[in-house]
Amino acid sequence: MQKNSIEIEKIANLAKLNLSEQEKKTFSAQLADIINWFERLKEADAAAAVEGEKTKGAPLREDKPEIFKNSEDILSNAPQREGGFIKTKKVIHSE
Amino acid sequence: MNARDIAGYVKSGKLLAAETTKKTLENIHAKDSEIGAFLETFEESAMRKACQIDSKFKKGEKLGKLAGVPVAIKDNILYGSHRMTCASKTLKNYISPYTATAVQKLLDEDAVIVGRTNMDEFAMGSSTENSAFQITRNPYDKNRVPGGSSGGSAAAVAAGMVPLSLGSDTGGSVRQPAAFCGVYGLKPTYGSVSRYGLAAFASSMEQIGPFAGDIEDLKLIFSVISGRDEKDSTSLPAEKQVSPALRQIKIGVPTDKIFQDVSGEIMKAFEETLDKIKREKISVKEISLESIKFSVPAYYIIASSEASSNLARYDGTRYGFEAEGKKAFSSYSQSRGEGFSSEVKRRILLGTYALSAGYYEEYYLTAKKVKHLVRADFGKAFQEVDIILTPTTPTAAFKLGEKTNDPLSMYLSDVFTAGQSLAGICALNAPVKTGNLPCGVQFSASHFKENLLFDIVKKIWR
Repeated sequence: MQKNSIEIEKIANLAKLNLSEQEKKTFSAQLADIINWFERLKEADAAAAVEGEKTKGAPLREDKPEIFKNSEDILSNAPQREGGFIKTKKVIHSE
Repeated sequence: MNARDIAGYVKSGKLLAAETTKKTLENIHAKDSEIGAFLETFEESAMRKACQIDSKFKKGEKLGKLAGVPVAIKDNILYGSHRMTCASKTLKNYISPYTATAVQKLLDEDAVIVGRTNMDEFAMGSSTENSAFQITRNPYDKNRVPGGSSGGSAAAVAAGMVPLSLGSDTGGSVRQPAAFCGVYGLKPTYGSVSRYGLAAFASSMEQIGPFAGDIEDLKLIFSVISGRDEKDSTSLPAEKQVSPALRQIKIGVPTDKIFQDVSGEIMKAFEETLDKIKREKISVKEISLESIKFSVPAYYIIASSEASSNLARYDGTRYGFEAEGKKAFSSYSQSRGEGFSSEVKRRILLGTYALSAGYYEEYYLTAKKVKHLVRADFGKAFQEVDIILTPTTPTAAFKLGEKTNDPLSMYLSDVFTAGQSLAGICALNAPVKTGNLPCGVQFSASHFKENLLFDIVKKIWR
């Protein structure tokens, strides 16, 4: 019955999502069920839809620099900051 | 009291906005301990706004269309300097740095924003049980869910705590809770209400949509929040539509097998509505919506894919929950693992899978093509009829806990609502009471034909 099994660790890693062992087990089973259910889309005559692919693009406004008055409000939501900067954790590590 | 009466009394000086606001807040505190619709009430800013309205009146200044009307907003819509959490642990301490356009338009018309309402975390769910903070109970039966994801906003109106509220609808998140709670709820045409200041989940489908206790109030709040906004490039000006005269309207009822899983009580509500329509001598025609059976899986693939991308921002750097740890990348995974609850993780994983190498064409691209098929099917139907009538949901409100361990059965409650979201058209829930629990019927119309929906409901239930 279960046609699809997913490599849960690979997907979780791509999604940057830590999962507990229990979550890995539960999600693997649930996602396999849901993905099997997605299979029914293959019955749709999707080829007939290609014609409709062209949609109007959203109109864009001119790109003009503006002063955002509430920058302090944005910065104050950051977990760590230093003055007017958001502080991040170390990205590059020396081995 | 409905919103029009409140605004009328405040504008004529028969009622003070401050008095109404105070009473509303007291009423919320009295009733909400049993319902759990609100995550927070905004006492201070609400009273401040109310006093400003009263002093404007005293000075003889013109008051707005919603003068003194209390409005609740779903907790995924920004209101500057107020907390907004998306009912997620990850945004527990987030303070909005700016105000959503829809909320600003309400404030500009002198509405009073009284609080933020509970929801499924990041609007993912159909029962409001996925909130990280509390459950919300259906005001008609406290052992049942209010629907979701905008369950708090629906319950707040149904329980008489506020006459109007805002929710958001991505695949049925306004229409389904409106049906479960017995109130009016509108999913506007995609592009008719600005999404500026709505926390992003599935950007190509979601719209802010209102709840109201009656159809005139629904029409009123929609007229306030809709319109083109420079800050949302997908918003559009309302096209000038010439609605056909009511007696020329044709209503379509799908013939396809979509009715097979509908419960007896919902069928009864649907058939009673159909009888009412026929008594009004409105012509009813059978139509075919063949691709509608594919709409729920296509919707879930597209919505989850967009969610996996949109929610990538919650890594605990610029805002949100940040886990301990010294290295950036492992800290991202940990923050997200701890900050999100199950349904959000499930959708992120699904979306990541559907977009990953080797599966993108099979799932995401196929779903996008099906989206066009569904849109074309609706387009064809609207050449023959003006409005399509279906039930809003296959069943009335289910019990708390009934579907929490079965995500797929929860998804299937969107069977009548996901198609309109894929097609980007407008649809509203009209409440119908046949038994102990509220039921709803859904009227759908083509893009920007909201007024036709309001008119037909007024005619049928005048």
